[in-house]
Amino acid sequence: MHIELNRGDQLEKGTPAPSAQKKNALRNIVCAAALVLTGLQASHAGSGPGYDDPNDWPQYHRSYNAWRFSPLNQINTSNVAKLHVSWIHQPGTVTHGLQATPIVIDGVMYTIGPDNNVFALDATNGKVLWRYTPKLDPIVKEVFYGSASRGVTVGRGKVFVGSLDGRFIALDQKSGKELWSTQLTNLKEEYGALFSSPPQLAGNILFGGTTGGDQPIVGKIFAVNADTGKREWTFEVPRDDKKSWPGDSRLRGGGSAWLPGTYDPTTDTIYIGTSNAAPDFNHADRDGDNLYTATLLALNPKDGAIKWHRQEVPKDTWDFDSAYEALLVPDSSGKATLVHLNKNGFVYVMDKDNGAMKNAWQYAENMNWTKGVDPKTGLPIDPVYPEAGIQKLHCPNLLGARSWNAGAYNPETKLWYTQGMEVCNTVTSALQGKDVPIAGLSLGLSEITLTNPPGKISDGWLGAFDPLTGKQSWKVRFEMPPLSHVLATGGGLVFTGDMRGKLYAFDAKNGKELWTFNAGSGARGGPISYSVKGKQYIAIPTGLGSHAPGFLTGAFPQIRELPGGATLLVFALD
Amino acid sequence: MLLVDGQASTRGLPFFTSVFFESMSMRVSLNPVVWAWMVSCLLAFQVTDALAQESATKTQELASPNSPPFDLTDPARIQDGKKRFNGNCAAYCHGSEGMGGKSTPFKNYPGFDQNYAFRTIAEGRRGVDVMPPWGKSLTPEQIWELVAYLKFLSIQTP
Repeated sequence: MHIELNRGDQLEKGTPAPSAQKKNALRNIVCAAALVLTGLQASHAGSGPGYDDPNDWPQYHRSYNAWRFSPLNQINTSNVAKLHVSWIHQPGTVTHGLQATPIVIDGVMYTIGPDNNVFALDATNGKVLWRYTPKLDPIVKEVFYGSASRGVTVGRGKVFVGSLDGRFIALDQKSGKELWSTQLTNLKEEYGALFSSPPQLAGNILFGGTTGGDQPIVGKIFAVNADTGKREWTFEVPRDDKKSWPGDSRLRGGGSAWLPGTYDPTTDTIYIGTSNAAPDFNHADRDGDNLYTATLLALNPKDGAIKWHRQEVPKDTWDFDSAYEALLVPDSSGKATLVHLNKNGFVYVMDKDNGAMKNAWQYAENMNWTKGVDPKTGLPIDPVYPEAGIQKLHCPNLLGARSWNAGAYNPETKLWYTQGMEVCNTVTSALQGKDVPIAGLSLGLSEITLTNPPGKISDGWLGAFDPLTGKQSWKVRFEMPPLSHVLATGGGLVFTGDMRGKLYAFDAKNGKELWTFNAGSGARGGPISYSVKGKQYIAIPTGLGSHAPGFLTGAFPQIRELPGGATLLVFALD
Repeated sequence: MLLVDGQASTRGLPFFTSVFFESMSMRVSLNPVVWAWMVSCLLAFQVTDALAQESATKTQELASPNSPPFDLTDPARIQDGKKRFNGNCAAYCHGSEGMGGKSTPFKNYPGFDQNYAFRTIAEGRRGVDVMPPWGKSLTPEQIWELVAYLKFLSIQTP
């Protein structure tokens, strides 16, 4: 089935007829009775990877295979229309909104708001169990990537934070007291290199990279002992290789890993993607392939050694990166296959054990930077680079054909729900000056302008795809690109939110809109689902933040009128 | 227990608002419409508080800058300002010619205040969004060149 519906159509189609409401009510009564009879368990089907810890949301993407799939099915297509607010949490600061994906373990939610404010909440009612506010170095007020945090990591009796002043911090999981803090970057000398994403656990190793990728530094991935904070290894993303980095260009090559990686315990492998090279839009001083920027890395957690790597954008000159989630999904024989979406408009399908290409498919509707990606080599065909002094149109734009909001995979529908941003930009490349200020970025341009794709109007979408082939099942269009992560559930639902703050539940099979809620400010974080004492909850962070919405105003002037905020909304059935 | 950030945003919050935050520590079950109204009110207080905080910061910090050291209509200075704006301010923030970002579009801006623009660039802003301060990174002359470009934009047609 392939349907495309616009938002207006969806609003009407999502409104149940009175007779349908009666039927739904009857069905709900039956379901509720069944629930009681089964011992008040928020039930689920299936087993194995992606189904572990069904009642919790224990890590950033819930499971190591990055599915963002909750097996819970108490809230499902038949009753989601009755979903209502159960409780609310507000961190009290709104700068850059809520960008985190909360963690829930054993009925306790751990989350983080602006300026690294960490909270442990009773996941049934929002009661604050403890709160941690770090004393941040005042230099955090001077840097570009300020205030925003994308989450915390919980494990080994601790809550781990990547701080805005360049530290990994461990808190006691029960009390919130600081256990250790390790300074890893020097913000003053490294142009504000800090942590906006939560470091991840690989056994007793805690690893993560700094934000951005646009600073003139040697971008790094850091690893410390999770129990002591002692530094274990540091991976320098720009490889020490004159062919790859002529002259001393690697010293200003950027290449940080700004999103959380994942750890596959079945092979003891860290998967983590790296950012673009710097200067972003001018490669005059770095006329090589610029390894290991714009690369998906498979690392040994013990020493940071490379198991394999795949550079998706050699000599990246479009700010495309390769930082997004490494999805592991079964192929037709049941073997896990790695699926990796890139800002550049393509999805790379590869062998998870050696990075060998299996397929590449285009998800962006508007793409002109290359003639395509060779599915055998994974390399772009005849890429069109920005040129100094010449204005060129490039699609996708610098924010990507999708922003960093991850998709979700439902093993029951075998569909991957991910979003798209159909916006282009014109770029005039220029040599980068040497005097980059601490709040500045090394961009290498004299002009950049967001613009419509040729002959079209910029917009966004949520689509359902076979992740291995790219075959589209359905697609829902949005006036502006949705920037919230996606949640898929065992109840056959797909949750996400848009920039206006409208939250949605869609039918996973056909994209039919089944529930909406107006949160009042846009969604940029990670919706999750969990269960406590047999009751399923849906938690959705709201409050429009990050730099992306601001810059997108160039293509969508209506964003200027959208309010900020920071409110975690938690929904349930009664 | 107060559920909001004690560092900044609770300052100036009315008593009943704090009490409301207290009440949110218990599970409550209200009509969704009531919930939406209450959330809107709370967000309004937070935004008001952020604006008040921003205003206080402005009065505490740098006094109004002296007059610009050159003619702000000098085309060469405008060009230098434009170059610096495009390299540092356009991408990810204000957009080409200041027509992106969350602030007022820079073109056709009759209320343009050059001294306020200087202070904002030098000190930055923090509210819903973040603009880092550039006062330590750029010289006053470089900031005035940016102001010259913004002033030029303010009389351009979008």
